[in-house]
Amino acid sequence: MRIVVSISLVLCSVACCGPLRAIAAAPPQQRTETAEKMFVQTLRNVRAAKKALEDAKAAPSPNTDPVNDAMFRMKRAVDADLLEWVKYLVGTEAVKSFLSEAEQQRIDKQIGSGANSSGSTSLISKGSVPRLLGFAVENGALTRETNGTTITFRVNPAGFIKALAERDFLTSGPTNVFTNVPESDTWFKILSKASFFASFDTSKGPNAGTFTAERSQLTGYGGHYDLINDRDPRDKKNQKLWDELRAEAGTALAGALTALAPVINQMDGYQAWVDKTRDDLIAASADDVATKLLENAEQLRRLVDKDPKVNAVLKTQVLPAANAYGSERVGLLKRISKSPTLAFDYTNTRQIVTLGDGSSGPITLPPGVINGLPNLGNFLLTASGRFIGESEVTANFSATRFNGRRPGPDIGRWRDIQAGFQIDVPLTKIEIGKPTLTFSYLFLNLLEEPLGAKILVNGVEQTRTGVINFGQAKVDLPLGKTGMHIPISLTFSNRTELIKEKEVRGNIGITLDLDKIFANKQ
Amino acid sequence: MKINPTTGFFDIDPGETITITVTATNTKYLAAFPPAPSCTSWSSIQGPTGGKESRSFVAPASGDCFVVIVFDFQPNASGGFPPGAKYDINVSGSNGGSFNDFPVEPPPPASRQYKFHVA
Repeated sequence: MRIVVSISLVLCSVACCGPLRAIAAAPPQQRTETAEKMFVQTLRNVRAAKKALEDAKAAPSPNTDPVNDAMFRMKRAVDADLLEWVKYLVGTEAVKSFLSEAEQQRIDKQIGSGANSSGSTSLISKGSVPRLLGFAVENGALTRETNGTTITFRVNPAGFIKALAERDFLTSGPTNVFTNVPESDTWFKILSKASFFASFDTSKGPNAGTFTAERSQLTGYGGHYDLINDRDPRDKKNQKLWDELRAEAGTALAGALTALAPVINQMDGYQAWVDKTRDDLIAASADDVATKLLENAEQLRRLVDKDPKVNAVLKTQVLPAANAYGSERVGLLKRISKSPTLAFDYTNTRQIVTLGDGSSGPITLPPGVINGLPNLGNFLLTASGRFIGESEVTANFSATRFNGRRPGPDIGRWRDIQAGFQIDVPLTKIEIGKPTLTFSYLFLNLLEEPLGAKILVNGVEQTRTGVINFGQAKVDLPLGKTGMHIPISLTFSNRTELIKEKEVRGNIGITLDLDKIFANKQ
Repeated sequence: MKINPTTGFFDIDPGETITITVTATNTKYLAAFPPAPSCTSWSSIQGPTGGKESRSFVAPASGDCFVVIVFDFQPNASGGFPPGAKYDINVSGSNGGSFNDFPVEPPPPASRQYKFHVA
């Protein structure tokens, strides 16, 4: 056994820089986007009030009551969502996020995409099956993902039936979220835990370039079943956590905002500011509403900066309550996201290869294979959950077999069996940052040479049959706000295809995140 | 209770009972009232049950009252929110007058400020 220690220095730069903070100096389009993200609720109320006002004034015989009602709503709309104004006034960096990463991504998608962009694709669809699949996608019965020339459709049978019958996503979750009563039907409970998929490669078949959903384009299909999964925040088991969040941190935040309301409403110049903002928003065109609101927001910031009483309430009461709510909500979602899961997956991969001259040379069957490349059937059992403290463990066991006719007389039915686990441990924060420790181990018994699809271990292709043991311990150490990381890893393997002998390898690398460095200089 | 388009406040009478009712639709009830309005305490609390909560207070002899309610929405596993999820808010006075506010919809967090002036 030989021990190899290697030290490498890697500089990685991130080309895409984050959003700049200088809102005032930003171009109009960026200012509009900033306002739309920062004042979602306020702008929604303003637009609804503007419409009510326009409708009231445009009535054949304008009535005082509807006009007064609309004017009242317009005035209210300016500062109805006090929490949004707090986030603006104290600075978004000062307020901890209320949303999980998944929610933030979802919100960004909703803001960033137009109404007609959902599900759009440049790939051509033709025939009745694609039309049927497209109809199901439009009605929420299927989901569709496009990656290069591959289109994958996924379906949850319970959601499929519900969506088509009711066109209602609400009850397609594991519980009815309004009443929190589990669906009583046994079949619904069973079906709601299952999902199926089918993938098509539009570059294959006689009509390559056109999605036909024919067998010649079918590259794989499979199913997934959640034996245990409580990770949906709407699940009945998680309701108590939400009730506690509302009753404790929610009540405290509402109390802090209610304490701020009289102080800010009595601030010098505040009522005049509300009147001017209302008038500006009424006069603004639909395209200018967001930027006009942002302009007036900057005027309010200047007023608040001069008022020590408002600043004191903001900093000593509202900000701590808002951050406590944000922390507890994100913590709740993190806790739910680490609930135990146990899932079974089966995947059938169709290996469609056309023998003869290919773009990268002649394509022939491997030695001993006389019946064409076999389809691959993979059985996978995955378990995950919280381990100790904040750590999370993921373990899986899988087996892959050659489906269909045996590829050759001397080739067995099973290709490989694998078992592995990974433990991720967030370590205690130290002065320079918060490191994470990861342990992983993989056992692979390659019973037959891979025929077609590659088997990769740590990025290295494996073709020789036999047992492979592979383990790794890694500490990722961030260096403060410099954007640099030092990953230190220790890897054990009984063999690698590169050095042909047992080894212990140490590795030190440095990564440099230019995005953070540039952000710190602003 | 009357709306005042000039001030944006609800004008209320001394001793009038004001009731704020929040109703959740297509979402678990996650609206949070403050422990008390800025000018007094709650005289009545009903719920939340069945996605609905009502709170009342009695207007003082003079001055202003403020109530800010915080609203949250449960995401699903992928961070989305169910279509149709919303909160409806009604404000009414015992001496007459009722106001249905614009509904509160995702994304969370959201809040609504209600201003009352004792006339």
